Amino acid sequence: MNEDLKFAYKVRQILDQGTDALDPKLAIRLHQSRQVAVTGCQLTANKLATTTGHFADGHFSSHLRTLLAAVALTLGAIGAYYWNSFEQASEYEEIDSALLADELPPSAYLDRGFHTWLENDSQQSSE
Amino acid sequence: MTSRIELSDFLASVERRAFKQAMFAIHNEETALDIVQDAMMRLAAKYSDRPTTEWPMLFQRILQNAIRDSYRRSKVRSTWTTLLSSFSNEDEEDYDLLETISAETESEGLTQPYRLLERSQLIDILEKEIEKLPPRQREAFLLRYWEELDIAETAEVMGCSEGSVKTHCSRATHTLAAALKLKGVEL
Repeated sequence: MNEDLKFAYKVRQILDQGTDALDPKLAIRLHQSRQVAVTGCQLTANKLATTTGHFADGHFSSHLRTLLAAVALTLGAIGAYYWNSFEQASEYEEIDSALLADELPPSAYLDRGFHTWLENDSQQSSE
Repeated sequence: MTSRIELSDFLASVERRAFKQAMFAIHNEETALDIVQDAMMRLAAKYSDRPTTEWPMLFQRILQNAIRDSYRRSKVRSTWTTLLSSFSNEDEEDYDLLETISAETESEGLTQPYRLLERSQLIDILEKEIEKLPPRQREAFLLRYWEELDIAETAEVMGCSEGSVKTHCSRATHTLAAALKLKGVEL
């Protein structure tokens, strides 16, 4: 054993004596910290075990729940699609009835010349 | 799964040294306690299922990282405080243990309380000198000689080469020996 190691060994002995003589209040706090850490670990382990147990017990029921959720989602999507279609149809219906109620024939709205005339006419009137 | 008792026993065996290590670096009881609790909780939460033989090194790695982080934060936060506190240590330079020891040996019969006082003074001086060591030297010295990790394990915990560990340990030993000799302490 060389001199450095001998010295280090003596230092270690003194340091150990220092930890033995630690303030009791601090020792209690450390003890509490340890309890918290160990309890936390135990809780995690218990939680994991409980989760695993539940999974094993309700294996089929969880599958059923998943299936039901998927069916409900699909039905919801189909419903939304149909609802949108009805909404769009009623909008078109309103436009069509407005066009039909107007004096202009519907073919006038499809005529490009009519649009050009409308734009020119509106510009002239604004000047 | 490791038993709760094994984990508790392991933590009980390292908690005081861990606290002291944190105190050497941080100089604040509350922060040191927080660091130790945090390290314990991390070990328990993440590594309790690992073989018990790996715990010492894992715990030291967690602890040293936490100490380093806290040390960096406190250094940035209170540069001025650190500067001022370094001046206040000058008063302690006047204390000479050698005088106390020589007085004791001359006196007739060393009573037990007197020995205890002597011992506690020696512990105080040594701990203060360890606090004064550069952080990396202190870390290497304590891991190697107090926590009894081997050179490879110490290097892994510190994130440096084995050569660096040897250098840090050697420097720490010589600095410590010189500082104690200056104070008249012979181990």
